[in-house]
Amino acid sequence: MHELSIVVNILDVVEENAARHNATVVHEIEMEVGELSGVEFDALSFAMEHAPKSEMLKDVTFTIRRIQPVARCNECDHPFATNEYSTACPHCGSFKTEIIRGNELRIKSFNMD
Amino acid sequence: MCNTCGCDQPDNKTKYTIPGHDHEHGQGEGQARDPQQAGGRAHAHTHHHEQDHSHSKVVQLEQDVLAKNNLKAERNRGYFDAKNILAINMVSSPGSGKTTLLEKIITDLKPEMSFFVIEGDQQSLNDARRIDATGTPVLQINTGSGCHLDAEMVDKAVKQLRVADGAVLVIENVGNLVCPAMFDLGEACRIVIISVTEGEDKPLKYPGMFHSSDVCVINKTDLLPHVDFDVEKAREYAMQVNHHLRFFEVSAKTGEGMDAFYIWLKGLVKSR
Repeated sequence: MHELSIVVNILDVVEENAARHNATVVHEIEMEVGELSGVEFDALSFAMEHAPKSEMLKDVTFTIRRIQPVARCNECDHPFATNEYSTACPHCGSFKTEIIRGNELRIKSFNMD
Repeated sequence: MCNTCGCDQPDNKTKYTIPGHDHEHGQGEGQARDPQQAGGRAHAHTHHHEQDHSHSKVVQLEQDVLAKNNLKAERNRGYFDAKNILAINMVSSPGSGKTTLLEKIITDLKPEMSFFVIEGDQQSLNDARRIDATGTPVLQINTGSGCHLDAEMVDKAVKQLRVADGAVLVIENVGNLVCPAMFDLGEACRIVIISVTEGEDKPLKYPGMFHSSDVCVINKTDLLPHVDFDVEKAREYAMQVNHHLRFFEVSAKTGEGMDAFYIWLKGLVKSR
C-alpha cells in the first residue's frame, strides 16, 4: 500500500509547479498510469480522495488515463497487448518478451487558475 | 520519496544507526523529510466541476511521479561509478535468508574484497549487529512504517558510513517483495532471493520484483529433501517474467553452490 504516499508525492510535485505558475487554485490533475506501473488502481483512487491537501489543491480532481501494457516478442518481433509480465507471445509462444508500454506513472498536466 | 503507506508518524521517522554509535544520530542527521502536512484537510471530492474554469490554464508537466527518486538514484550511481564502488541491492520477502547469505559472502570473501553494508528494516538493529560481528562497517536504516528503501535514504546512509573507494556496497533492502521493486537506489545489480521454503510460484505472484532484478538466488537448497519446492518450475516461472535473469542455487548455511556465485561476483568486481 504505497499508493497514498505516491499521491502525496504527486500533490507535492503539482503544488511546486503550480506555485511557479502563480496559481491560486488547481482544478484538475491529469495522470497517465500503466497497468504494470506497480500501483493498484482502487488504492490509488482511494488515496486521491483522502490524501491531505493544501488550500490550493483542496478541490482538485484527478483524471487517470489507464495505459494498456504492450509487450514485444524478442523472437518474432510481434507486439501484443498483455496484462502481466509473464505472457507468452500469442504469435510464436515464446516468453522472451519485453514490456514496451504500460509501466508509466506520469503526471501529464494540470489545470489551474 | 516518502515513507510509503502514508502512515509516517512524527515519532516514526527513518533512523540511521551505526552499531556502537546508537546515541549519536538523532535529529537532523539523515531524517526522512516530513510528509506533506500543509492544509491537512482530507477532502472527499464528490461533486463535479462543470465548465466553470474554461478560462483556466493547462500546464503540461509530463513528469514521472518517481522522477525525484530516479534522479537521486542516478546521482548515487554516478557517485558509485566515480568512486569505483560496486553497489548491490538485495531484495526478497522476509525470511528468505538475505542476512545469512550476506554473512556467508562477507566471511568467505573478506580477504579479497572490502565490504560495506547498509541494512534496511522497519525496526531493530538485529541485522546490523550480525554484520558488525563479521567486522564489516555497517549502517542500519530503520524505516519505521516505511516498506522499502529509497535513493535518498541510501545517499544519506552512504555519507554517514563513509564507504571506501573500490568497495563492494551491499544494500539489504526491507523484506518485502512488492514496494522495493519500484525504487531504484542507484545500484549496479539487483539480486532477488527466494528460498525453497516458499512457493515456487513466487515469481508469478510478485512479478514486479523478479522483472526488475538482474540475478535470482535460490537459497536454502539444503532443505530441498524436506520440502515440495520444484527448483526447475521456480526457474521456469522466473524466466517467464524476466528472461534476462541469471540464477544461482545455494545454501548459505552449508555453503553448497556458493562457489559459482563467488566466481560471478568476482567477475563483476573485476569488470568495473
